[in-house]
Amino acid sequence: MLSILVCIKQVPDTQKAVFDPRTGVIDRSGTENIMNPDDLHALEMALSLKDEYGASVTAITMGPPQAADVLNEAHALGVDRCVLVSDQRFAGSDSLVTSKVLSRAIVKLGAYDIIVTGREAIDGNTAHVGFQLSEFLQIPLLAQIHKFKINKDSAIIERLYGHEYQKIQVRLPVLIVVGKHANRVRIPRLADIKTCTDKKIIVMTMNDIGGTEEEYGAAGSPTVVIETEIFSHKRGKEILSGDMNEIIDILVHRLKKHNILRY
Amino acid sequence: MIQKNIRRFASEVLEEWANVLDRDSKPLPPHVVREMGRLNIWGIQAPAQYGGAGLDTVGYSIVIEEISRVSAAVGLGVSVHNSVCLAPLLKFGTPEQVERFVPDLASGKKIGGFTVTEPQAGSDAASIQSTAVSDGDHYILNGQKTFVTNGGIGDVFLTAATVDTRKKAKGLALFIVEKSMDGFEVGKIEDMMGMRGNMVSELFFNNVRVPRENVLGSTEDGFRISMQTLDMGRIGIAAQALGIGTAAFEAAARYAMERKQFDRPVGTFQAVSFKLADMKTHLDAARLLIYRAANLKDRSLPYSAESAMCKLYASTTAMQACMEALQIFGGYGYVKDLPVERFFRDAKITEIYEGTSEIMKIIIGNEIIKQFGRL
Amino acid sequence: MSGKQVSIENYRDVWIFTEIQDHERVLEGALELLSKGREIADTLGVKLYAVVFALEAEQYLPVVERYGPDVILYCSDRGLKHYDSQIFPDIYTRLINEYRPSIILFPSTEAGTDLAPRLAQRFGTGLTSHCTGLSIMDSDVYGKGLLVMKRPAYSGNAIATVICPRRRPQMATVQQGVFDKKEIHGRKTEIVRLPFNFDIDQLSVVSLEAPKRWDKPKVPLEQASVVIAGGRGLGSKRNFDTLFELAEILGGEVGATRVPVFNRWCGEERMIGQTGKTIRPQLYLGFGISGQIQHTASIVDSEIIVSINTSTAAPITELSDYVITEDAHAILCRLIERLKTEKRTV
Repeated sequence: MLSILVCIKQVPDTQKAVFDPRTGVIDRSGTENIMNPDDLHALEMALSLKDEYGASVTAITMGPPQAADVLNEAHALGVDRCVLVSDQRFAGSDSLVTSKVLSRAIVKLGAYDIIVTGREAIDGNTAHVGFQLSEFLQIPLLAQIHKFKINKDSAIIERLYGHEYQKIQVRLPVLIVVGKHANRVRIPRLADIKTCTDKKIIVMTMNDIGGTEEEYGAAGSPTVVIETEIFSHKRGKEILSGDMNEIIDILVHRLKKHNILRY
Repeated sequence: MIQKNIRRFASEVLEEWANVLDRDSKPLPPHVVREMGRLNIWGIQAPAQYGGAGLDTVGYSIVIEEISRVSAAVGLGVSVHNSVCLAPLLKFGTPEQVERFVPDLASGKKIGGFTVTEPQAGSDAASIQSTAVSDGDHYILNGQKTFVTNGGIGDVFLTAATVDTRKKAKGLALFIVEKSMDGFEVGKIEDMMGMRGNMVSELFFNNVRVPRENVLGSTEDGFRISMQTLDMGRIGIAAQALGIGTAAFEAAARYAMERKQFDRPVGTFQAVSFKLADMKTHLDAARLLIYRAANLKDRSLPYSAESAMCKLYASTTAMQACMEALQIFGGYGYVKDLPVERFFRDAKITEIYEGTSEIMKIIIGNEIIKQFGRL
Repeated sequence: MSGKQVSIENYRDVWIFTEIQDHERVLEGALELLSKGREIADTLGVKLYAVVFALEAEQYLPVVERYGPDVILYCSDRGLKHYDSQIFPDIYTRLINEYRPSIILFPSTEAGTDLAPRLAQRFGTGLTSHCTGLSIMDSDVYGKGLLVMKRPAYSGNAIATVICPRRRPQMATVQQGVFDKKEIHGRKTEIVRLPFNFDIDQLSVVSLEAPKRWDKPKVPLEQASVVIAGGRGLGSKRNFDTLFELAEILGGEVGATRVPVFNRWCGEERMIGQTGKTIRPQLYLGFGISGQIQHTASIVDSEIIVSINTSTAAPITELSDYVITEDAHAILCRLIERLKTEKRTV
């Protein structure tokens, strides 16, 4: 049977977040924590593969003990096994160290065929972890997938690559990155919501995944955030003028600037 | 998590139907009914072994509130199916009856209803004129029911009929009647002010042969079961009223913060913000009354009066909230493009069905007399 | 990890991932980064390198030279026609080990955001993504000549300032259009051609045929990251239908105000507003929408709002980032035309 791992993350709901106006840091006590939206789509991807091919799906998250909430939610959606990688010594990890921790935990969990991650988390918006996991684990990463079929030990994938649609074959294991457009996330059954908190969650600490304290947390992280300031989004009301072509030029430029057109 | 996910279902799936159901007075399409089945919405409190979710009554109230917040008509169908058809079957049914009927009902393959009301009998359930005459191992059912929730779409109806007219209430029995039985006929679908989209209808029984094993409880139990069933049903109606009231409040609050007159949002004028403050306070109080009744029921304690109180209070509050919301919306509240006028029409019935507000006061009053009368 | 043994003082220069777009031109964002990189290199007193990988890469070098790099490292091969997430990282890894740049900047493109995190992992170093500001600072605590990177955090609600004090190279991806490009004349550029040595047989991804059509899954409006909305100003169902073409190109969904829904130009499920849906996409484009409160209240959380409307007095102007005062349908057609030429596959 296929073994599928899904990496998920608990994040503050940045849409409703309360910020400390002086430091720009999120006031966590006043902000609800949710499952990162892209990760719900990653779970859906794994569960629909399970529906189609039969699979054992494991959800894994790194975070403080309360991150178990998102694992309960994963259980309700139909995940078979949940793993919480949690240790004081992981606190303050940047994206590189997070990838390191997850990759080591994944290796400890044994063989797998497919890893699914969300495209990016709404708190960090780095979109690093998928790529870095694929580097740590030395497996190919595929994104922008719109069809995914499994044929024995390979995956046949149709994807958008650059500006082209490709059909490719990759030998398993692979890591796939899933964004909001990938699918529509199922709503869990009430019966599964009721029982999800009774299910067992496997907890792993640094002692389980190995390594030393200096490799993890803030100490092991190459990046240092030296300042955060609140950013109030004032609408620019910039009027684009000129002839039609000039207007289109400026508009395309602005869309690129905001990272909406990525080429 | 219950609230979050049912809210998601309501906004992602139900919302696009809410206006259509109301405008065209037609039922939910079958694929939505099936999806609700998958989500256990047709078997909220039925045990998991029969395909239900096994939630407690507080969980049940949350589900009904969230669905009614988007579509009260759907909330009504769900509430009636669960609380006055499935629940009495589970509580009073024989093991055989449970095995036979509950799985299909809990999964939504079949929709259920409960019928007491007749042209001549409403709150006075003892004056029911439908009759059931014993004939070997069957009863022959004759009569007419009105205002049957889910009437037009239902498959299984708990139907009250008189077995022995001399015994009054004691002569009343509840029969499990199936749509497929000969002589069962759906009458006119009511063209109602609100709750359009629930196929509330008349039902006719012309010499319907109902097997003896379809009697719920004993032939003397009909009245007792009905009264207990209504206690439960009232929590559902209260939750429904709360859902409508909350929707009206939220729409009004949002609008009041956006709508500008005299250079400021109208919600910042005290005349409006006081209205909103009252609405919110009453709605929250109603919610707590509902949870209390639900909690008493879950602990198997008496809850008739509490159930009547939450229904009385929640329905009055909902009506009040809709009225104020409409006022805050001004002219926009009076047009059919916006849902406030629908909330208003939907809310009114919650003061009427499953016992009117006046009947609720009688129930609460009787409880007070019972407690203090002896002194 | 390859970078561990070498002391950070041995890393010096500034590199720019000089991306070639559609194998026909140097990416604008790369030229912008060359200009910013020039400034940083001058501040630090080090060299600026442009790194160009492409098929027939020589053709791009004159353009690159105009933006003032001290050195162009280039590699030209068929295998470099497209960005490849196996070939590019491997060659870069070898080059970084050989040349030891202190700073590498990448445009925030699909290629840049693939390559950068992979290299960061391989060198155990830090990466800051989608930066909107770069500068150099000297710190008593962290050291001298550090790259200071500013980036949006918490979905754009805050700006974080990030440094990478202990590891090299320091890496950042930068959103296009953040910096201005500036030509520099009379600078001597050293041009170095690198051999292409990557064994194509070791690629694990095998290409099959190209699919004929892409059936994009429909997502609910609330989840769409781009929403193209139309209103009364589009005038007709035919004009309204043009929105779907743009939505297809941008990977978005079509939304509407009350009028199109009422006139049955589209279904009720596309209605945004008080009775419809509330959206918070990355980009909202409003064509022919004046912005009645019932509609605008449901779009205020959109990250970027662009409104195209014949009147500047339209209420939607108040909450727009960009305002175009033209006929909505005309702009819509021009934009589609432009994006089609830019995105065409070769």
